[in-house]
Amino acid sequence: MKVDHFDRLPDALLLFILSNSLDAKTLIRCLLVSKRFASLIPQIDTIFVTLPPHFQNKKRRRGLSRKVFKILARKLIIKPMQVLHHIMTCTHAANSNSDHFLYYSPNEVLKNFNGLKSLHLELPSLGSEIEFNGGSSLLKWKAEFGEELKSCTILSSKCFCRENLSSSSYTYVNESEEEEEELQSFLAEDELKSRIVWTISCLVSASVRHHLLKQIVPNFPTLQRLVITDAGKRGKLCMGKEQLVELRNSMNSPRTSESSLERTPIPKLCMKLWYVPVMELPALGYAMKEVALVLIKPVSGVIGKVVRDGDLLVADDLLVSDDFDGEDEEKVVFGEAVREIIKKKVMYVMEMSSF
Amino acid sequence: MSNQSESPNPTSSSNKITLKTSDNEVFEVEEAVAMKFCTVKQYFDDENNNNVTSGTSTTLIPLPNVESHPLAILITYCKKHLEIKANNADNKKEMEIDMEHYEREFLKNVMPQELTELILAANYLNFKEALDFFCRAVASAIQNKSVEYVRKFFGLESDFKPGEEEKLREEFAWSFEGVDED
Repeated sequence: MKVDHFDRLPDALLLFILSNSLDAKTLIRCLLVSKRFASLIPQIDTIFVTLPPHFQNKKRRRGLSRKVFKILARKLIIKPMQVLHHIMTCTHAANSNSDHFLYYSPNEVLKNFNGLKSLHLELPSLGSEIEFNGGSSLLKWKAEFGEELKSCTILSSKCFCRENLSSSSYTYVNESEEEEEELQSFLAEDELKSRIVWTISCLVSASVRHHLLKQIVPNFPTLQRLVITDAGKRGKLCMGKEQLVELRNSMNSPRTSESSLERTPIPKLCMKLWYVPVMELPALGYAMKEVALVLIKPVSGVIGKVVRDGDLLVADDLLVSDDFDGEDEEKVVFGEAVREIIKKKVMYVMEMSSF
Repeated sequence: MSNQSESPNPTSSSNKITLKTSDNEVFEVEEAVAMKFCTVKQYFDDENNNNVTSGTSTTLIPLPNVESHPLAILITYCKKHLEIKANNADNKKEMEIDMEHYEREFLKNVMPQELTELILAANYLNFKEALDFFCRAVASAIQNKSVEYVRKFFGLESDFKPGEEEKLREEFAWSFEGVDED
């Protein structure tokens, strides 16, 4: 006799299976499997969404355009960057067809999940934000937002690779040779400039994402955690429960004036930059060259904290978030790199006006 | 009919616990294995509390919701799980690698229908690691698969009225782009 095990599966257990790392696309499709699936799936409260591309050559249905959300790569990403174009040495020209990136709106994709508590949205990699020379360079950022930017950490390296122990030409860097190291840590002016350009580019990306999420948040009143990453695993924007509350309150208050920018304005910032010419992480088998870590806070936030506790700025450094997006193995490396680099002295402290 | 599970390592000549399945098969397992099944552990502890004098493992624990087929697989899985854990007691990463390797091999010999059966058994026995693993396995098996594949996987027929399914398909047209091959 064939027993129907599926019928014996309690709803809670089926829900547990379905909420196990399935992405929104599979879940939506599963709505069609049976009525039982259709009734359970909207109860799932933790969702991972890869924003699905919309192929234009499909025949258009009436009303579809309303549902389609356009990420105009040029408008959202490239335009703010053009301001910087003259100081950028490594920007590729925007793809001529970048205007054709069309994506379904996150609200459309998520409309069935009314009780959503935790959302991880993965944006497609537009491949045009900033290209680097060669594939070995590294740029990772993580930003936290409330109503506006709360903090941003950026880790960058000109050369990030699996260490080739036999041919490593940098092994002469010795911890004991303090003086030599001090000399090498000098950051050339154009190098500094390029790191600042990278930093601005990251901040622009982050603020574009924040603008995007402001269109999502009002539709999901139960949302408590929101993460936006990209397919290229470069940047990660996070918002927790309190930050979402702060954003909702600010959006409800009438004083919010619609900015003409298609991104959230960045407040006046204070940033610290650490730099190391060579970092070897032999235990993990990785080596990095020209590593920079930038820690960014809004000036207002820093001042507020300093008033309360003069040592907090120092303590802040120890709390640097190293939770970048990436492959599991890489994440360990990034964490270690951040821990190593903040042991050094801060090389630059800068302020950046609001933009 | 009796199903004696042989002891792999004679070092642990510990207590054996006897489990009886819904189809009346009897399994004799090491205490360490049985204790991973929280339901069994609970029963065992209760028994011991009620009956302080019985230090011997003569208790027969009935499992009215578990059949012999999934139980045999769960016992194998549990033994291997404990073995891998013991072999890599001081290296969590190595343990995870070994476990992953074993689980990958394990899944090659399991049919979709069996997975549902195993989930039910693991759930009843409250064997958390196995439950998590099987649920993950199901999720990854149906990840980005077609509706028909998922139905087949769970042994289901559509229970939508004619026209209802088409309407849903139309509404969620975007989710049918780029489906993996079955």
